[in-house]
Amino acid sequence: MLVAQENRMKPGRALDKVLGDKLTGSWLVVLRIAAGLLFSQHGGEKLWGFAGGRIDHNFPSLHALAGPIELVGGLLIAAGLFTRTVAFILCGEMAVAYFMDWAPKGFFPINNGGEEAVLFCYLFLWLVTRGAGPLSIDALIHRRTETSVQRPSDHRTVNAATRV
Amino acid sequence: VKLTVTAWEPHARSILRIILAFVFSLHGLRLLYGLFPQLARRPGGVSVPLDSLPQFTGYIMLIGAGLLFLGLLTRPSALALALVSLASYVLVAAPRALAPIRAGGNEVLLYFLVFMYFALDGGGSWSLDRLLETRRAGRA
Repeated sequence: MLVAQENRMKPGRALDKVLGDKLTGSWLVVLRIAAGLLFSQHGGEKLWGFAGGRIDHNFPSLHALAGPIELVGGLLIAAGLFTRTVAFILCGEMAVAYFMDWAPKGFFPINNGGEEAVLFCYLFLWLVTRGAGPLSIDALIHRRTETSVQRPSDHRTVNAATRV
Repeated sequence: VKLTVTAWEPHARSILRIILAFVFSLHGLRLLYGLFPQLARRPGGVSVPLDSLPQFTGYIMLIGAGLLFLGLLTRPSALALALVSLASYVLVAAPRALAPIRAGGNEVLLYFLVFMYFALDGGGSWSLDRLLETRRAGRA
């Protein structure tokens, strides 16, 4: 009775109970892998013309250098390896791309064609704080350090105890 | 460092929610009133599939994105927007090409994934939902 009343007051909490953390966790896996692969398409396009895109091998230029960064970065995000660091780098890359390529062409992101850059920039900013989540190489590594490092004073134990 | 960064997760999620809802609402305005003409796009890029949906979906986009921007009824409105994004990918982008980047489907797939996450896990710390919840809890 009490629980039912509480649930009626907070529909979000009731939904949480039905869905559980499991579904949220698995959706985070889907989100991370799909977003990483979508992002790496841009690298593939610049490096070998993935799906008929424009190749850019003009290497000292920033636009060409973005190719390998996007390919490797996107795949690392999808694999969940060094997720926070990689997401931070890619977030910065997208901010630079937005202000160099798109911002001069119009004020709003849907005018100037930089919508995707904005989406990826803020998504990666969130991933920096969120971490890789389940089913990632980061999670595997942390599970290993957690079991091998037993001393509670060791800083690695503290890190492993935080949410991956 | 990791603890500090992780403590910011609800705020970063709110920032993501607010920015995405704002940009999404512009698509609603474009569909309904023809505002915000496309001035530039990537070489070989095509239009965002949201712009090719029937006009009545513009109301869903505008109202849903407005609610999501404020963080009011976050979960249902995020679910509605996620479904609109998915529909636009399936109906408009998917027939164009297999690779999402060629079909212009990257944006709507990202919208779908992120909005679906909000629908499942809520919209973060800075939202009217959260404000009302704490106020109600304080009164009780």
